[in-house]
Amino acid sequence: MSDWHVPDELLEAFATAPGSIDAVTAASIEQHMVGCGSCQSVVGARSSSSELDAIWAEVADRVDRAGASWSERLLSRLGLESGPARLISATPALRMGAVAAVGLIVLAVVLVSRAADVGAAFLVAAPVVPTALVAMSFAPGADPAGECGLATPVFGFGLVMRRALLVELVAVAALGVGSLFIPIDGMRAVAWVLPALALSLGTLAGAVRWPATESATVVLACWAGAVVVGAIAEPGNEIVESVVFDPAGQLTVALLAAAAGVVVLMHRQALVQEAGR
Amino acid sequence: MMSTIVVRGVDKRFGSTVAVDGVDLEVGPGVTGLLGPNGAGKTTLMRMLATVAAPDHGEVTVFGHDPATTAGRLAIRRRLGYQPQEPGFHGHFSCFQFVDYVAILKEWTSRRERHDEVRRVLGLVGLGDVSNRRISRLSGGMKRRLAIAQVLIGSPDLLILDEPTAGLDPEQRLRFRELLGSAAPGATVLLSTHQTDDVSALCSRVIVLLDGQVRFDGSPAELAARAEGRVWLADARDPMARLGWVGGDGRWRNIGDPPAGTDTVAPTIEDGYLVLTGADTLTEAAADE
Repeated sequence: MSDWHVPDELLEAFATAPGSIDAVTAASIEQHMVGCGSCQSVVGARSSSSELDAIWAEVADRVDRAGASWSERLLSRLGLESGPARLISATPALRMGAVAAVGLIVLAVVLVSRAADVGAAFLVAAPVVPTALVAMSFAPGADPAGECGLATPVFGFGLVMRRALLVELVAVAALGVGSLFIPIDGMRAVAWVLPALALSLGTLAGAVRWPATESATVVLACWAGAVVVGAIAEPGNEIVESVVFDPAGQLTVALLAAAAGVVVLMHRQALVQEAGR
Repeated sequence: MMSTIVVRGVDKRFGSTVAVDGVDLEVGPGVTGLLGPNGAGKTTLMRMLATVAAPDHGEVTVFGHDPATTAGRLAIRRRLGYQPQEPGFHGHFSCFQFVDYVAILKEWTSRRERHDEVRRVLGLVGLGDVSNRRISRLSGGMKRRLAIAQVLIGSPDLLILDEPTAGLDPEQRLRFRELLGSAAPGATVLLSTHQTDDVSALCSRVIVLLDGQVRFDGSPAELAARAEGRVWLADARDPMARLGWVGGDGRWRNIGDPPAGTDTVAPTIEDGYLVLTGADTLTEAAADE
């Protein structure tokens, strides 16, 4: 072992102002200190305990920081603080697996529509996707805090509706891309948007009284019934030309969506309870 | 001193089942135990006090606020720590992530301060070393401690704990008692339990609920006194006893109306509780005879 030690002024700078030393010198000092108790004790005595505490706190903070989900990172980039971003994105409907499944379903429906040259298949199937995701967001156990969260100041109608809105937007974005590739031209290609909104709101309206998954099942059954009735009522027409997707049908769907929205607003506390079960 | 919790004529029904039936009570600082058999209405009452459920009738005020109003709920929740009977954890979360998530819900916006607080409460319940372990890999007792950790975030003024010691082993229960004494000085603590020895060790006051109604409200000593002169030991189950069991020493502990000339023993809280909850049965049996 050598008798050489790091010069006093360098140790002083290393201990109190490490930024003032170039990287090569700092690495040399560190290497020497590994085997030199004398220099270790000098650095230990001169280092500020508060500075060490701060460094340790930073290290612990980084170790403990949870890996942010893709939706949390997205919301943070859009300007939301990390806390609210985590709360809004904390739903199984926004996990990567669920979003990947949505992408695959949309792709499959587009391919079927194109292969059969039946655009109506996409219009009929599309509203099911956001409805299922919204139901998943409100299913029992969907919130990570469960009933513990229900008794906190932040858990409320604003949070659960922002979460539902984000889920809806993700589904609508995926379906929007899909609708570019279906064999329907013009505004008819997006005739699924209002039914999607109505079915999602209908699911939430039902969730003020029944479990969200049961509510979604009933709402989707009603949707299937409406499509079948529309097709039977106008047997000569394509489904895409049926009453469900014509302007009058779209207006009716919009009114139903508005009515469901009113029910949700009137019973918002019950909806919050459902989201926290 | 102003009561933290005031309940007046509160009812709660689920269909045809009456869960809480005309309850009146006031709870102030200190530890109050809520005892009662399964289905007595303890959890329903605690959920109403924790602003999680609303009563059908009657008035509830907590810290002078009405939980039926949005502003009142918010004011209460800012001073509340609530541990439900079934916390419903997400198995894919780690201990740290779960408590951190609840801390965000409790308005801890500064990440650094929040993480310090999360580490503090995990340390208090002895989960500091496993903070990054997934909840799905925790034992039942550890999960119960995790549920207690989230209650302690921000050192709330009111702690509502629904069976906090269920699933804890004897050592963990002792630690919990120590923790409650040190972590919540001056706070109002309402805890429900089936463990009468927890009540003896922790509570200055005990409330017994039966069929949704308050059947007893007093000190643990007063509850024990309900069985005064009604507990005796014998080598066999006494036919006069309404309840009886063999103790660790092999002798039967009999509860009921002792035969004349029998030496009775000092009753415990459990004896008092059993006499109270079995009072209807005792009365009916006496009438039959």
